[in-house]
Amino acid sequence: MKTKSLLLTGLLALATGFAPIFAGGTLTPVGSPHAPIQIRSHQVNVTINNGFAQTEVLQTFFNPNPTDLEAIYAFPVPKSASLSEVTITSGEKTLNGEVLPKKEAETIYEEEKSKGNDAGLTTKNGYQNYEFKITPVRANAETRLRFVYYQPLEIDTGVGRYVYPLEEGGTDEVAKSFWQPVNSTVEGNLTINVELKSAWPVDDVRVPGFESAAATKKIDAGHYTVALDRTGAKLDRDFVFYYRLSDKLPGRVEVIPYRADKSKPGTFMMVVTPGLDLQPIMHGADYTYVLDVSGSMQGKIATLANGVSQALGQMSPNDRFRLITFETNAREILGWTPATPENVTKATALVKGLQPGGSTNIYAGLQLALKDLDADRATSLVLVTDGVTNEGIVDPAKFHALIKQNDIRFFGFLIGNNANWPLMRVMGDATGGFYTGVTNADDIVGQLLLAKSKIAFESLHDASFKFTGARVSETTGDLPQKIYRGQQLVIFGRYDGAGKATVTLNAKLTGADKTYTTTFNFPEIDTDNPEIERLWALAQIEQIEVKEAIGQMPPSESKDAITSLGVNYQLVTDHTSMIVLDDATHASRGIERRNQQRIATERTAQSVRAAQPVKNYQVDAQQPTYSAPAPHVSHSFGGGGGGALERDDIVWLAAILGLIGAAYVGRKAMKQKANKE
Amino acid sequence: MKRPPWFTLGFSALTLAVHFVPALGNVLQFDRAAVAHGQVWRFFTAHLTHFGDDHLRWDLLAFVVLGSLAEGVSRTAFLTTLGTAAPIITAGVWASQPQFATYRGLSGIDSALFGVVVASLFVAGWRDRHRFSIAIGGLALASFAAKCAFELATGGTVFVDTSGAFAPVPLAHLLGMLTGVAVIWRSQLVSARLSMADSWLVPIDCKEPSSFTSSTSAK
Repeated sequence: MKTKSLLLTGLLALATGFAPIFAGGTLTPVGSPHAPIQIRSHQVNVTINNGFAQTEVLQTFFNPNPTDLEAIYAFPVPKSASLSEVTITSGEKTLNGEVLPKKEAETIYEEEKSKGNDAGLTTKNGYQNYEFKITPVRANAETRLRFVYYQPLEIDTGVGRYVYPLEEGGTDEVAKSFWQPVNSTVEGNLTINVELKSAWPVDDVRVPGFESAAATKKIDAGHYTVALDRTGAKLDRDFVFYYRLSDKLPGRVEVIPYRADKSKPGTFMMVVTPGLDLQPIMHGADYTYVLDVSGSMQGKIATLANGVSQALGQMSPNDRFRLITFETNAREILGWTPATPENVTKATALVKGLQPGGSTNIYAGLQLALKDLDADRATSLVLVTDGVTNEGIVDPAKFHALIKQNDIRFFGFLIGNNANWPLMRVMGDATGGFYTGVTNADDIVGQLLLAKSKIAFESLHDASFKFTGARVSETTGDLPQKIYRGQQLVIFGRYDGAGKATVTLNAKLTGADKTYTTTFNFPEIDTDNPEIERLWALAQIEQIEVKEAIGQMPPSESKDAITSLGVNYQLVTDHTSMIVLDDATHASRGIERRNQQRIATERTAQSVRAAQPVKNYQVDAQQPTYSAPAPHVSHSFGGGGGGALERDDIVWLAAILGLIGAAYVGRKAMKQKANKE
Repeated sequence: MKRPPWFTLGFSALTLAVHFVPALGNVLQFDRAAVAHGQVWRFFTAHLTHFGDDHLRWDLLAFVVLGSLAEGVSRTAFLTTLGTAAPIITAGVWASQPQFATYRGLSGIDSALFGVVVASLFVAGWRDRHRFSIAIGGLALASFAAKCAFELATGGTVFVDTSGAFAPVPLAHLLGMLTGVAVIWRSQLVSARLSMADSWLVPIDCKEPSSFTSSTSAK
């Protein structure tokens, strides 16, 4: 087996080729034409503390128009982000947000708007974006908007990745027409501060594209800060922050609990970093690449072809591959083909000749890809798309059923922001697939390395986690089905009662049963990380959305469950919105201040954490779950190893040879002298 | 007159030919799956193949320089080094670097030839009690070993850009260098018994006196 990256290389590489469509993070007036609202400053503070990230965004806008305006601010929805806090400051007034059922929040906003009062409304526009409505944005005055969201961060093969999304993915035509033209230039400073606090030593941090502009400071082995401060910057490029943990770290289980009251259930986030000695796939395997060539792929085909030609040359003749493209319809542009040099040339020419156009029929592409599979050969399906399915079958339940029919390894790559995460989740759920996003700002080669190490290596099958010894309930992520090399798993759940609990991972590896287990204690009280509750609630919501999408839960039941979780844990969802009012209006309307209380608890915990060294939550240090170290990116090249020299090696060699020459001359002179004597 | 390093030039030409016929690269490179199917020649031929022009350029330049020097020391030692280092390096990758499904590149062989050249210098310096030669030989071997150890320990590389189309394999360099040193060490054991000619660096081959022989010393 060789590198299994065929089109993946091209598909990831094409991410380098797509031009930004327009910027997110801008405030736009509603209604008749007005001068664009100016962005005076844009500040982002990110704290990554072990398993999750807190992002605080502070923006100052200025309305240069002579009249008050209603304006909308849009922000792409980051993957698994729980928007928890919104504050609007206008003049002397400060407005704070409380989450209510969507209709109720919208009604209150409209009522306050009609009265000419200050109000804000934050809604979630599906998977596309969050919208913040503000009324009024005062004439010739500044308005400040602050919001906070949390998201769990997974570490893949020793590399952590955080994305602050700014570039619009352009998947929503209606939004696109509304937002253009926009003023996405920050007239003052764009400031991004990242603080990384890791319990595990970090070897390196990187911000691709901002290496020279960002100031990086290492405070200790796992503690780094990165500061980026720019004037006149445009909000049209994602900010990506990578951190690479040290090599040879153990496979491990970490449990971050939260329980404030002994009489109530606790919540936990379990982060499992398997130390699995998964081997490269040695026998020939089949790879189907399903490529989106719809109209939005214009300008990316040449890049795709270059990637294909490079990757094909590294495949083994034992492997077979085929190429399927889809737009309005799907077609097989190359059937099952051994990866011989002749076929490589043929495939490259085919991809170079592709013409993008039409709408996006992902289902047709998948349907074709799942035909003519060889049951005796391991099959991987790699889907790369930058769009939203809008042609043919679009029902997620049908996608789920289609993919579930076959025992395949599914790899999904979503290009750009505003991408269809819910659909990808549904497809991943069907077979335990792996999916990830790629943005223009990503280190594409780095992403490629990580993807290759999953595709080219064997994986655990039929994987499931089981808790015993403690009453654990309402879990998410405990049935991963498949576990790929370097993949980190995040499991959320609740527990009743403190004490010993045992977690067991049961799985199969090439037919043999594998069991990994460890025992740990759930604490009676632990108030260090109250944010875990919101993250747990969001994971529950995502699980409910998948169940609804595949027909396992009626929409009405799903809506009730999501509304209840959204209101109780103060999360903006498809069925809940955040109404932003001043304290007096909240009081006069009798709105319960659940978010205010939750925020106060979170801020107290954050202050305590900021003053303390980072805490290590590993629970299996005494009884390691895994005997092997966690896979690391430095050992992840599932393809070619090369005996390689570089220019600097040659310079070093030349210096050594110079010295050797001098030694030879010196020794010869010494001998001649000795002979004369 | 100095004899041209025909074998070095021949192997260089062969490497170039393989590079410009991609089909040959696929047949000759080290490939785990193919080796499992009995294609054991790949243990020897992987070093003639490269992943691209950039990969080939410096590897081949180093081979021409170091090969010429090593062949000048002793053609037998040169060929012995090639014959032993080639399978040792790929066997090392095969046995202890399972993350690599394929392996290509001459730099492991370059490292072996480096070991030959430097060990020869060290031995000659030791024999003639020439401290500068001993120091340079020792320093070169130690720094090379330290570079390999650093790369193996950290997973990073000192010089090679790891963002390219393949991952560097420091183990290949270490195994190559050790093989080259071992070849010289063994030939010294033989030459000590046979009392042989002095080459420009060190006497190691009594059957094939070097054209650089300057004197004959009986010990």
